[in-house]
Amino acid sequence: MENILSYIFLFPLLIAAVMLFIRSDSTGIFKRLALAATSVQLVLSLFLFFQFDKSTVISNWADAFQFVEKIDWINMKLGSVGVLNIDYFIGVDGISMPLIALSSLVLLIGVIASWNLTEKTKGYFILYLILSSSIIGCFIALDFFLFYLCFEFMLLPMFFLIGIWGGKRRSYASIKFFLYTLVGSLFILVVMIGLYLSVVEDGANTFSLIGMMNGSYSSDSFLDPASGKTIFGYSARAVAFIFLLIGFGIKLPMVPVHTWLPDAHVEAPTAISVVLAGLLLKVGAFGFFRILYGVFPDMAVEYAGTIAIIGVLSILYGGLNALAQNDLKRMVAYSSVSHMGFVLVGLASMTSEGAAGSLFHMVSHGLISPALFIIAGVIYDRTSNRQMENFSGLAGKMPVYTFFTALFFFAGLGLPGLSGFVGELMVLLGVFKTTSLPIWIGLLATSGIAVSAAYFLWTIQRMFFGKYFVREKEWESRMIDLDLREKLMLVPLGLLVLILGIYPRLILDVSESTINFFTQHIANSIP
Amino acid sequence: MSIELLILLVLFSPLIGGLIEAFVRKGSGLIPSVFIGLSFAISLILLFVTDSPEFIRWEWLNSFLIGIQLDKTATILLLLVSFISLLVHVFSMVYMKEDPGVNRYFLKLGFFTFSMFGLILSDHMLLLFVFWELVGLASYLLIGFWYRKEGVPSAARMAFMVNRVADIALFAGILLLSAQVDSIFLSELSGQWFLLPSLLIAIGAFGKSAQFPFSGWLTKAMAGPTPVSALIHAATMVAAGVYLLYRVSPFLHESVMTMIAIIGAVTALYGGISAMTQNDLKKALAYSTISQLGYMVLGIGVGSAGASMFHLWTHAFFKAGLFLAAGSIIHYFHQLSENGGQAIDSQDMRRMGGLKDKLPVTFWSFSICGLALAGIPFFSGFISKEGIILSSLVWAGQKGTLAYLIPDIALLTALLTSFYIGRMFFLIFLGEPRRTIKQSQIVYSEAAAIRIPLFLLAAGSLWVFYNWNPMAHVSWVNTYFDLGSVPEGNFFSAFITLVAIFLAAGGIVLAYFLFKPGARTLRTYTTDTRSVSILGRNVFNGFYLTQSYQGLGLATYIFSKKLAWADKKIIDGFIHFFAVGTVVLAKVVDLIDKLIVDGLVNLSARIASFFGRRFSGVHSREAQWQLIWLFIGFVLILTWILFF
Repeated sequence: MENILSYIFLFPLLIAAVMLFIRSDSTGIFKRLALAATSVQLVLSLFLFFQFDKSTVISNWADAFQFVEKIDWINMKLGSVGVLNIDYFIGVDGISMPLIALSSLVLLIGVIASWNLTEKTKGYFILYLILSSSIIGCFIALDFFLFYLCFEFMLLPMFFLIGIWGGKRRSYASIKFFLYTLVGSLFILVVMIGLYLSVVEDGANTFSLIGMMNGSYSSDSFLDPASGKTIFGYSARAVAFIFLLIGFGIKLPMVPVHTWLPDAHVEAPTAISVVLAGLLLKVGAFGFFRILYGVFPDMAVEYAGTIAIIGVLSILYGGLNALAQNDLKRMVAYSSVSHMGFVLVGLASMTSEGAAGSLFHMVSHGLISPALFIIAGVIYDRTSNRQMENFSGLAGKMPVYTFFTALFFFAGLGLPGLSGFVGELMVLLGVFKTTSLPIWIGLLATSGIAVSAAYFLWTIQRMFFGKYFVREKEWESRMIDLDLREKLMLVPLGLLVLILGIYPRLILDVSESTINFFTQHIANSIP
Repeated sequence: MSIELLILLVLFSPLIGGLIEAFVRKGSGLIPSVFIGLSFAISLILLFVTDSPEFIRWEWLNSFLIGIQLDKTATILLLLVSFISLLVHVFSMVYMKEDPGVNRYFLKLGFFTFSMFGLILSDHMLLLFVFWELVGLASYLLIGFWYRKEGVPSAARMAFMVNRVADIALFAGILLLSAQVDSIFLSELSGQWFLLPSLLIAIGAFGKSAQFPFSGWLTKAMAGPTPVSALIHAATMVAAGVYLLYRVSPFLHESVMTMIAIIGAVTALYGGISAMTQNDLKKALAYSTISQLGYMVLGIGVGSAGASMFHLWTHAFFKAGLFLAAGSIIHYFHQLSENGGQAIDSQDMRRMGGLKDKLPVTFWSFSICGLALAGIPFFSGFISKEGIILSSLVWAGQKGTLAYLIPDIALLTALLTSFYIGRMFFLIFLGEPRRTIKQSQIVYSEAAAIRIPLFLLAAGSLWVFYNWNPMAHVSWVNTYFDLGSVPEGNFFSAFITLVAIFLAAGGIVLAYFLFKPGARTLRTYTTDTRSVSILGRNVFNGFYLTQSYQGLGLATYIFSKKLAWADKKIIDGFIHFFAVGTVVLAKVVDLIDKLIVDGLVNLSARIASFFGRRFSGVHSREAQWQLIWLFIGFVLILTWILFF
């Protein structure tokens, strides 16, 4: 299994290519192929996860990565500008390893979630598999160009998946999503070009993220910290950092550039919501780890306060907005905004607890939010409605459904024993420990967990407790408890949420050494 | 067997019992009771075999140890919780027998007991917080047990939310502390903490122990089944805050300690006053619990944490006894209403009376537990309450004149306590039945599963088990709590003890004259439903605490709605404006393109064609004529060249 990483990355793409040659009227075959592809992906990822060497000593970013593959890819002479060097360069470290495992699982669950799809299945699953490959690609790319390529390539399938298989306002939502994230990508593109022109490896400009993170700038280049170049009077690195903050912030999403998310979620089909919340947001957060904090640690130190405030704002603002929603899916979407705020706060603390907590919280949220969207999908599948006021007292009618809802709601509100708590705990430990952030940031972030309790419990009260009631008569017959397919999705997620809540070291051990190096890397750049 | 194994067995057996009941063998609660019995038996063994603290620690997060400890405080509390839980389990076997969700009920009860054990065993403060939250969850689930009933879901949510708000303070306090001190293992605490973490941790404890202004949730919690109220909302969980304060009180900031004493006194008085006018049996007991918890917190604040813990112990017995007696009464009325085919409010004391003969065991145990609550000598409550009152006097002596308010309030509350419990006693048990429904229709006798727990709890409220001397204010239980010594008796303390006895007796006498069978005030009270004075309404509604929470919740909701509006209209609106702006700009560019850029091109074309047309008039259109003219011109030119 020498090129295992490439198999994980490209296998879905291969299957997608195979699908192209299958007649589109044989509908059943596509979902089975997709299931097989994602299953293989999951098995390989798990293999990778357990093969991953947790005990490596890291002294330099190049040591951090395992299963590295590097092949010359594009080598183009551009006349006077020089040579454009792009490598197919992939590898995993302790930060991306848990995310790859998470992605494979969530992608598999996404296939199960779209099992009942009957419309244009060929196109759907081809796009879905392209999406799968690009998500994994983002996490493993060690070449900025490859990363950017995958990052952009997520947009296209997503655009069509929402725009064709979505709800009533799907075209609005998909275009909004597309334009929003495209604008974000442009900011990243600019910085990418700037970095390419500034970073050298073996005497030539390079897109290598390792080179960028190790800070091998050519002297007096634009983004060289020592050169002190400015753009309109601002430090060039600061401008680049802000650009990246906007670019990845949109994806994360952080307040105030989050408004694409509720619309995209509400209109997207369940499976796409699952992938969107579970993975796409994590790609944004991963960008913070790899590029914002990895490549610009000096700026991360300088802007720690700003990022922490944005994080706290996201937590409280997203939470309060979730409280105001009547649409179950919209509520869950805003809760995602709130939860991703913790990731920012943890990163801003620049402690190993905070950073490990952020990463753990990403994984935990990657398990909880897909489950929450599946839960919203359950009620939508049965009634084509998600308005909370249309349901009441479901606990008596659908006890298993209620059990899972309560489980994931409590996981979402950070109940100890479930994974949501561990992430929040570690993030807050980091925030209170760090000396670079004021105490009130920690206090405000902590108060966010009261807000999350408010909206989750209120939803339980409104929809599940009380006397049984559904708005329309014709829904009565459809209010049946979870079927096997739905359980098949929720049970593994629930088990993982529980296991990670009790034994968080399953993830933390894998990421420990990388995270320690990561925080040390940032600490080294504190003047 | 090693002690570690025993500890784990105590901890997990309630959970296992509950799980078996819920999923494997759906019975009547026998199996969970057996498992709790096992926990109780092992706790008893542990009490005798543990002489030095036992520690179990493990690395939960990377290089972050957490652990549990079993010291003598933990052993005695394990014993208390497992004993009360066992009795409640047994009681529930009858009480919940006909409920369709009985399996669910025992699972939740087992889960609660497990979490409570965990809370007591936790050594690390974060682990304590973990179980702190889990008991909160168990409380939420059990309050909301009858989720179909009106008012129950919102009561459960309010209880959880109020606790959650206080828990945030606790959580932040612990995290802040972990950054400031070397270790947050309870067994390794040291030094004096800063103001902020001390304050936050104290607030967290106030929430769980229903101290003012968090008290309201406890009255709402009465929506749950009554055995649950006995276990969770009287004997064990609500005492968790007191327990936490006991553990941390030596390290708390001094001003926070004073605040704790004041809050405790205020809560004791608040609960005492509010309990005086309740009609609802359980609500009156809930306010009574709030008041007694106030005593305990007050005791911590004045530095006699040991006395508080002893009061926690005695209170667990007599209050669980009172609640189970209430459960027995409610059960009786339920049976009555089922047989009489008529729904009745089984908790309204105005509609009771004369239950002495119907429920003799309940009557006797209520009497004994009530006297213990009132603080009458020869009962446990007297001994423990005296300890707190005397300590507060000594403390006030050191603090100065104003500080005497605290013991004064404690003494005044003693009067209120005996009054309200006396009132309840007379209303419920004496006189003639005030129900219109015929009580003689059914033959009802208290089942053994009801009688035995009541008997044991009543017996546990007698003085002999604590100190042979009925006038003492310490007991062997105190030796299990290291902190805070109770002052030695002297002339002054004997005088105060006499005052306390006088007040306690006075309260009962007063209640007797107002609510004795045939008293005019009793008749007015039970028949007159006209509105009472503003003060009366305030007292009756517990000074509108729960309403204030609702108001706060509503305010938050309205604020969130406004925020959502802003999100849609302003933030998203800005994006829209931007998008629409882009489209408008595009249209404008299109127009410019059409009119100006394209216009210029067209203009030049027009100019060209204009001139073209003008000049095109020069030539005529007929080709033949043109050829002729060409020919003629050619000839003319040729002629000119040749001949001139």
